[in-house]
Amino acid sequence: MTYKVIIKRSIENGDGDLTFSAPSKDITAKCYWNLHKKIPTGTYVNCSATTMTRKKNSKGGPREAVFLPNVTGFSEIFIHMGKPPYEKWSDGVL
Amino acid sequence: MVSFMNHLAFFSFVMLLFACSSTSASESIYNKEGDFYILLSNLLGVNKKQYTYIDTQGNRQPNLLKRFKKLEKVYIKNIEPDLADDKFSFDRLKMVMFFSFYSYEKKSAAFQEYLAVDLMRIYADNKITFMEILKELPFLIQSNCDRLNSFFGFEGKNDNKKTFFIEKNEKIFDKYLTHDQARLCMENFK
Repeated sequence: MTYKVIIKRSIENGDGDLTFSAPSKDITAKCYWNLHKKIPTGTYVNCSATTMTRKKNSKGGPREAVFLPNVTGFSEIFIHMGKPPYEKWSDGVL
Repeated sequence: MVSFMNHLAFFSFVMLLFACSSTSASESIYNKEGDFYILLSNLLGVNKKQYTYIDTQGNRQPNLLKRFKKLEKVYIKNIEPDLADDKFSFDRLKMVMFFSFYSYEKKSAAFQEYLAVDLMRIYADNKITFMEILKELPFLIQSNCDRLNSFFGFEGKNDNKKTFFIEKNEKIFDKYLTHDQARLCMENFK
């Protein structure tokens, strides 16, 4: 399945808006990233829907995540769920 | 004749035991070296050709997710204690602390988040081994103290425990490390 994730940042802080678009579903949500470990602006292709095995989701299973390859200056970057306070749930991920 | 057969049977049994223990030992050494190789080759980026896929145009492309999953498997295996009472051997703890170094130097978001939760528990149960390793390998100080500090507040937990941690542990860092090394570590908790 092909899908698109678009993230729009605000400049002042780590908040932003994430839009997920797929043939059968569109989702918009607030998102956050660590300002000191900011993923460079750009288009990242060949991302993968996967899990972070060592982290848990709300049901106790492996946490669902989107893997971003080829992020310059970083490695093993993911987009994953978070809860308030959102800034405490990001240590380099989105 | 019966006595000879008994001796032969006993000898065969002993040889079988040796063979089993020898196989087990060599597998253990192989796996440990294999894990260190996987981590080090990821750090140096010399294993890219091992993890590839063929794209729709028939071109071979790097498969970074496959490479991450292999490394994650090594992490999950080594993050559990290998001795009784939640203790880590020196070699296993060095592997965990080398993961901290890896995550710090490579800016690996996934392993930084994993270690933000896992490393404090391991430190608490293995303080002397942890400090002996920092003393032996001071290049691990910055990355591991950074990960210990990341425990406080990560995912909204343990935010109020940092002051108590510093009070209880600063003297341990002072005991095992040089003055400059201890300061380098403690700077991470400010």
